[in-house]
Amino acid sequence: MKKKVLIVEDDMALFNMYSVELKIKGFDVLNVSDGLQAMSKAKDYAPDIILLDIMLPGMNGLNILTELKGDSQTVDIPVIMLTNYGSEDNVKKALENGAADYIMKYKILPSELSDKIEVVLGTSNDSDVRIAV
Amino acid sequence: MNEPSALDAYFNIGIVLLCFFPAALIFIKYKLKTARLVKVLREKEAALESGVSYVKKWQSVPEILTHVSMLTDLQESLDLAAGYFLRTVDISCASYLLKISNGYLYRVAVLGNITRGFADKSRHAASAHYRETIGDTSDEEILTEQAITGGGLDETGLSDFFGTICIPIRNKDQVLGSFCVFGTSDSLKNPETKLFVTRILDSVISATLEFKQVLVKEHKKLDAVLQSMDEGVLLFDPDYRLSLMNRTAQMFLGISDQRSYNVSQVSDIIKGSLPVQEIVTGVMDSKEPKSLQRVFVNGRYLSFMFLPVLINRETVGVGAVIHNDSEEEKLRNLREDFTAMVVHELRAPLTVIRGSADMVLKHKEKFSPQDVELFMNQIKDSAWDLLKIVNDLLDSAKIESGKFEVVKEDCNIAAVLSQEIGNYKMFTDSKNIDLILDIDDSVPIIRADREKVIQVLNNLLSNAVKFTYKGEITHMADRGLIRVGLRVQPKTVQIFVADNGPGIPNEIKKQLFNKFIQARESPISNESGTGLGLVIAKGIVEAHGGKIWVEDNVPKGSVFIFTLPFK
Repeated sequence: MKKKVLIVEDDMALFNMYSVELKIKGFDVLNVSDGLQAMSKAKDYAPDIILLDIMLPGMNGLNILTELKGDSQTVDIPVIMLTNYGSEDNVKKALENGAADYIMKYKILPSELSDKIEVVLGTSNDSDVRIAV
Repeated sequence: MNEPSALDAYFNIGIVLLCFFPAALIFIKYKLKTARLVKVLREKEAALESGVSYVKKWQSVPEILTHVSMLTDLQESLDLAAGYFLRTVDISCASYLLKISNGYLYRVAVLGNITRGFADKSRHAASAHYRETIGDTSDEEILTEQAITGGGLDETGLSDFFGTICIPIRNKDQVLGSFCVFGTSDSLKNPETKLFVTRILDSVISATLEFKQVLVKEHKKLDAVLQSMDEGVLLFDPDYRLSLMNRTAQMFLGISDQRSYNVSQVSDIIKGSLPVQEIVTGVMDSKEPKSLQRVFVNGRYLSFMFLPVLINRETVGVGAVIHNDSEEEKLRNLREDFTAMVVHELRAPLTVIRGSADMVLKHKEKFSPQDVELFMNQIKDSAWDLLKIVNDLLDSAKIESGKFEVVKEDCNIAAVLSQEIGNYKMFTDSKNIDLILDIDDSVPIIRADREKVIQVLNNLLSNAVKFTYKGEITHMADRGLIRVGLRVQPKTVQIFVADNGPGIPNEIKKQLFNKFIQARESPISNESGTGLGLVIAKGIVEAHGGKIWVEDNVPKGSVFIFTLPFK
């Protein structure tokens, strides 16, 4: 069965890249561009992994992360945070709040993103494993 | 000669008596009159005496009122009045029963000792008067906290009093208690004494309460000024306790509670950055002010001015005024934030260009022509976004350095507006936003830099769209509405872009056109964009000799308005 990826990203160009790449790699992909819908989509769609942008319109992805990790229905879904805004504070906060990884978008190509997803999914039972970015 | 008969004797006596009677009558009458005169004289004398003492008593009134006018505590004033009556009126004791927060207080002022019986009897008298004044008919004893000043309880002391004058202690209609003076022998029979006591007491009470009111009002004013200051203010009393701290000082020092701190605790809170205890002690002793610049406390650079508070050359405390030196630091931080934000804005399109190009290269065999077109378009659009950012940065740098120029030529501003709205229409339709154009008739041709004016319109419109867009629309009432208009004024055209978005908080409005502030403190900091659009719009409008500002839209949203002179 195909693994499901929920991408919470408001930049359509980035989403197009990630979704086409992940579909080629055999994933099922759903996009939410509005942070407010991330939580309900995470429950309805029940993805195997969530890619979560930090800077969303009118909303901070870190708050969504906290919400996901605070709900029994979504707590076990690994979350990879996406950002282009390099702040160590954010990285620390995300990892403390249970993110499986933290990716600087500009540093990786779509093909590398799918590799990281596979690593996280393969090791998702062990949240201590981090992938060097 | 015949022996005088008894009749003769009687006759003679009669004659004598007849002669003496009027004299006696006159004598008696005189005596009586004299006695009356003496009495009148005595009375006049007594009246004069009491008049003199009366004048003397009243002469001393200003003294007590001067003292009272310095007091805001009613209890203190009543104590003062009691002491005063003991000195000026012939009484054995003055006392008062006062309602306090948790019951009643009974205080007796005497000169010497009194017996328990005296104290109890006086208290009963005061309680009874108080109850009568408030209309309480119960016989229940009013439980009081009792205190005696000027003497003590002693069974050999004064055991009884003669006569009582009790006066209600009132604040307007509210009865606060009763004040009583207790006489010696018949000292209180004189109605003038009652008048004197009543008048003085009324003045004492009203002076105290009025002064308290004035003081409370003044205190509130002073406190409001103190609390609204941008400077932090601290005051240490001579016991080195922090007796005053305004909000700014609390924020600077990171003290959030209203607990009473002493100087060493304040020192601990500020930690190693400032030896507060040492400084305050030094200023208290030396009476010399001390200032410190650029002290890093709680993430801020602060300057401190410690001043001795002197009254009659006596140090009664040490005050500190704290100024935020962090403006430079703030500007530096704003620049850093701005740089970080610009880097972020540049990274976004670069990420898309790099990723999209890589996808086309890697997957060209698997891609349909549509896929290739999608990614090539993404590359093109992102490159265009990059170019816009670079141009914006360049423009804002020129505006900042005053090197920004506009080239004015004849410009059909109404046509420019119509064309721009036409271009935006498709975009707004796709976002469920109604775009309405409202142009006055007969708009003159103005002198303006057409391209630059379009840039201003674009910036305002793209902001309006960004903040009006509400995602999925479920009700018609939720639709976004952007109204663009042009009004012809005597020497200018006024152009406005009104949206029904969330609006802009007042404190942000002023800073909206500021390069660094906008970037940092925008309420929608999660929105993408460099925030330079409005900075550039302002630069362009001002280069034309116009003005730009923002107002609240009615019933909601914002209106950005700018003017362009005809020439």
